[in-house]
Amino acid sequence: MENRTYASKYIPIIASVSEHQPPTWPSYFMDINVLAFLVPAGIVACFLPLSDASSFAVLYIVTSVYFSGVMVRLMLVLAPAACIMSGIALSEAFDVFTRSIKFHLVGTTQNPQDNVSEFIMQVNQAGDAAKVTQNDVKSEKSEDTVKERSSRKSKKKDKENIEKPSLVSRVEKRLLVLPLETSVMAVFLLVLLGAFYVVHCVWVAAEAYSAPSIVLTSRSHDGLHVFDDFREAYAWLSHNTEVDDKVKWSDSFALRTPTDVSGISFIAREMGEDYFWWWNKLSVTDEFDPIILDDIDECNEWLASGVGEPRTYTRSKKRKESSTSSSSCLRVSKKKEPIIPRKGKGKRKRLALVDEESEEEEFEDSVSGDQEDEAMEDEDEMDADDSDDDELEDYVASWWDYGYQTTAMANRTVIVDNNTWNNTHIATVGTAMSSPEKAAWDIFSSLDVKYVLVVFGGLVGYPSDDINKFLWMVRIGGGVFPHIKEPDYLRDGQYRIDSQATPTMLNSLMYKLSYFRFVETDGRGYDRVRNTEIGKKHFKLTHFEEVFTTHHWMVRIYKLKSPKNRIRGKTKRSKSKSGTSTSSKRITRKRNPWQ
Amino acid sequence: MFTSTPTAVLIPATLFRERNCTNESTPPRSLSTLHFRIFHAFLQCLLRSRDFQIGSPDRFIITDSSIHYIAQENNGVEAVSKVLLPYPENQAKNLAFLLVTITEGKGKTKTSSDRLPVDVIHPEGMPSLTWYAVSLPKELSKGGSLTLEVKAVFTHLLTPFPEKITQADAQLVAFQDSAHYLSPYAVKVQSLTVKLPEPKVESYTKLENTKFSGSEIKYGPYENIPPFSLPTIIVHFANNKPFSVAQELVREIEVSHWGNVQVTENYNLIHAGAELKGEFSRLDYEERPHVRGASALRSLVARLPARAHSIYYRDEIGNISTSNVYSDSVKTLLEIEPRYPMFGGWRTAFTIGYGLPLQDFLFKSEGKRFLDITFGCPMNDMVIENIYVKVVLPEGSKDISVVAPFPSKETREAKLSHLDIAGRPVVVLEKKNVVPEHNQNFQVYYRFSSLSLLREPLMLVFGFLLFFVACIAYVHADLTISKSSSSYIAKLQWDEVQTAIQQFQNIMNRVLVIHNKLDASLRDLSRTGDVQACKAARKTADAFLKELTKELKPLLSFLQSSPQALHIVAKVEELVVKEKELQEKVMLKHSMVVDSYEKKSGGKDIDNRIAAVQQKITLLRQEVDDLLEVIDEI
Repeated sequence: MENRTYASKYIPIIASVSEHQPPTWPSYFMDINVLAFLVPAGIVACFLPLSDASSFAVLYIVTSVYFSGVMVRLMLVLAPAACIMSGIALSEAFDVFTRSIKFHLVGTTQNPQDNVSEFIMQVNQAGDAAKVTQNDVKSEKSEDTVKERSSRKSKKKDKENIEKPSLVSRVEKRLLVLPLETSVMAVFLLVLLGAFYVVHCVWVAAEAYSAPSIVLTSRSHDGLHVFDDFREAYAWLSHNTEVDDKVKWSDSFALRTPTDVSGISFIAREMGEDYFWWWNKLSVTDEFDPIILDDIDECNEWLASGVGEPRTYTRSKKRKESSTSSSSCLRVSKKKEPIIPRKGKGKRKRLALVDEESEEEEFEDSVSGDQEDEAMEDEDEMDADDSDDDELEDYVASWWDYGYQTTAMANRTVIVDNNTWNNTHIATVGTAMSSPEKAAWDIFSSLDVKYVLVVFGGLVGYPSDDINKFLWMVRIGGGVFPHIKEPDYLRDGQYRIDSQATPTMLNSLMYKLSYFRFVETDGRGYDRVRNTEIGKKHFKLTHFEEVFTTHHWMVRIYKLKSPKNRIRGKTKRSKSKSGTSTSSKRITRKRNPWQ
Repeated sequence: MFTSTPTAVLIPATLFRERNCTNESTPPRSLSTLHFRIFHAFLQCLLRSRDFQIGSPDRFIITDSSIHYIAQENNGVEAVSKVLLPYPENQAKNLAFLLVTITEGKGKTKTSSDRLPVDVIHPEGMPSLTWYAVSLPKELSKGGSLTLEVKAVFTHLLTPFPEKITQADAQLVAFQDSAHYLSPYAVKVQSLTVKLPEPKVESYTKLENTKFSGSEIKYGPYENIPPFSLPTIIVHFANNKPFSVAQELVREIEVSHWGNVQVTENYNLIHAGAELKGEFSRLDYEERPHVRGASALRSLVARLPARAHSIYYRDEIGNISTSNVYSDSVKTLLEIEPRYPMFGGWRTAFTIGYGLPLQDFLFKSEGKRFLDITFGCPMNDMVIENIYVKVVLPEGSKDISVVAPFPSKETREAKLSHLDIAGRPVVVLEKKNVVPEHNQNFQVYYRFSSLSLLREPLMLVFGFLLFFVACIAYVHADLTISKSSSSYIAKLQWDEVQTAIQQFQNIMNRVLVIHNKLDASLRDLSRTGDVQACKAARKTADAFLKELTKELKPLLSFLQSSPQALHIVAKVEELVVKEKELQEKVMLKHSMVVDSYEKKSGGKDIDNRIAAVQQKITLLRQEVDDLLEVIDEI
């Protein structure tokens, strides 16, 4: 009991859920509103007099208040108890006030002929008296018996009062009669309070509890604006990706074999010589698939450092700074690369690429030495694994919050969802999101993930997006995979994504997927949720490609690039390295990709 | 000789015009374009000798949007009653719509006859083409002349080339056809015009007499072309119109004689143009939507009938908020946007639905009712690969028959909805390759008695009636199997005893009330000193009490005799005794007080005198109350 906040403090996966935070006072007021004031009154009422039932009610409210203080979610436990106590309080209050009103009203308009009622009224048994007076007013023969009986009862009680006149109860009963004006006023105020409570309940139910958080609306001067981005993304996923798409990696080549374009070639023949260049063009296009996956530098370092030894880690950090330069040169090269080979620059471009690759290689070799070799070999192995593992199912990876939605609305299999109990599972996704691209790609591809979905609110100012949840991903990931360290993502203990942010933060997959090409929207990359300009503005994705972004950029879906060209580059590389690496090493070494 | 064209679709229309007659037959004309095609041909046939000639076919291929019109005119001469229109296989299998009419005059004075019947035939000794024979209304005599207008629509003839483009690329399509009209007859003069949607041509086959101007490519005129001449032409041009193809469209038209025709249309849509490869960047798309994403499908416009109401647009995960309705007295325009802009190869699925007033679509003729409603989908420029038109008639419809302007596969099924017994009869019309030209009305005739309308409300009425009757019957029915069984008798007796006890309690209560009244009268006495009033009260009380005692007697005797009441009788008797005692005391007290007042004794004196009696009364009253409660509990 003393450690009631242990889970919400020390287990990040529990702490990360907003319902697991201790509630604030406003949240009490928001959820139970006037009940918050009526509950104490109800407790008092329960003690007058204290019976078994009322003592149970008191215990119930006390324990539920205690537990609701632990986390917001347990407000659910408090709700029924609060309702009961408030009901008791209201009932007692109405009882007292109406009794007083009746006493005064009947006292002034006495009917002298009605001896019985008059007599009873004088005894101040208001509850029963009310009944009797009513009955008397109606005074029908048929009701006679009932009336008389009740009067008999009241009389009996009256007698009890007379016979064993406990002084205390008498005094009490006298006290419960309030002045008429006060009672009327109080009843009116209570009804008003209830009316306001009803209004509040309707509002809360509409805006907070049942408002579909999947469709967001904002009211502006020109009317209602609807943000239906989530469903847009889910609809896209459900219609434009395959359900059980079993992708063979080798198929990515098969796709481009002449069989597929036989129709075209046939047409081209029909078209005659003039059109033969089409055919050429086509084959050229195929060879020049623009995907490059050679920005391995930083990722490999990271992979190497990922073992968690401090030495390599610092080293990799040092090198990461230099790695930006290498990736920037790559970027330049990519920019120049012809997507449409018609321009005829294809071959030259490719050569240029090869050059850069080799440069990079040298650079890496010189800096990282042995470690890099190992990393390279691991990669080789992984590729071998990939090619062996022919059939892979596709999953959609996102933070677990969107798991159910993706399953239900997009009808796609997800890695983690709202009911994932396996902490390691969630930590794996958190780790991938916190890792640089290459490492994240390794993790995701080992999980057969094909699409990665991130929620980004920076363009329209939607605050509960993945960047704001990112620190939790880091914590949860770091809880299982210790090479993810929260301080690496914080600058002086502050979580920031502006120019002061740490390089680890700026190189994390989440940052990159969220802010990919974001700077081009307004020229400076101003994030409307964090109210700051983003730190790293111009960057390219090397292992992921944007396949869909919704209208307001709230959901961005990326696809893992297939590793085809990497193999091409690899063969070249491994050739150049064949002297240094031994085959035995390759076989024995097999690394967990997310270590 | 023609390649089978892949998946894309195009509408070319060919207008053939043949005027002069030669002794040669012209080769048939075929147009392969991307999307679907409308093939418009004028065939003017003159009958001279035994030969049939086709004059100067001018074809116009209009590649406006995804629809291509080709116009031709023919003058033929032959003693025939049938004109043959051959198409190569690849076109024939994509032929969606074929309309042949006889026209007279030119330009504005042109008039068209009704459509002529067209049959598929398999003539011997001819090349392996698909042959359509047009039956002329009257045999063309020698030297006679005739102008035929042939309008054909093909789907899936435009081939996106290259097949995959990036977001920034323009969509290019290839279209293949013959420069000459494919005909078994000789053609004297002919020409071909290809109209393009945009004045951008990547390349086109250059033959003699080829002209390219603006967005038109003109081939011809060619003279005296022998039959079956087939010089292939290929036009490769930019066409950024999205190719919206509904792979499946299910239209459900539900007729309710309560005044509504509910139409529900389920679309399964694909953009059949060049597939998008690589990334889709929202940034590029939003910044320069007509360059980056030129061929994307942004919105669709459905032209619904006037007075359409309750329009909705949704998909399986809920309402889609991007839609608009504009309506006037002639039509209702529903503009819908898919959830996301659709690029080549992307798919989506959605449902639109609307209600129509019954009187606009349901008519009566010769004792039968018929529904007259359009067949195709209301969308612009949409090709439907498979359409299922389901007409759900009210339950009890008979003698159902369908009149459609074109052949379609007809099946029947039943739909069970609320309050149906046998199910509602459903006419299902199935058709492949549906183009906007199929947007013609078709009729479903059926018999339906207006009285059947009342069937469902009456069913409800009877249902509830039966339910209530059953309830009444259940309450009133005595379901005891044996009337003489001991438990049954015991139950009856117990009921009687309970009634008796209730009456007894009533009497007791009234007695107690009278006691109270006596008490009250005493208090009045103490206040007012009015002895007479008190005495009067005493008298009435006495009378009441006597009456009640009388009433009590039979009850008591009944209870004593009843075996069921054995355990109560003791209490009851005790109560009666106590009550009597109480009564006596009350009377005693009353008379004592009245006496004292008459003797004008002081208040304290009276109190002293009655103190003992009062105590007894209180005790007795207590006991009586307790006993009453005990009996009450029984």
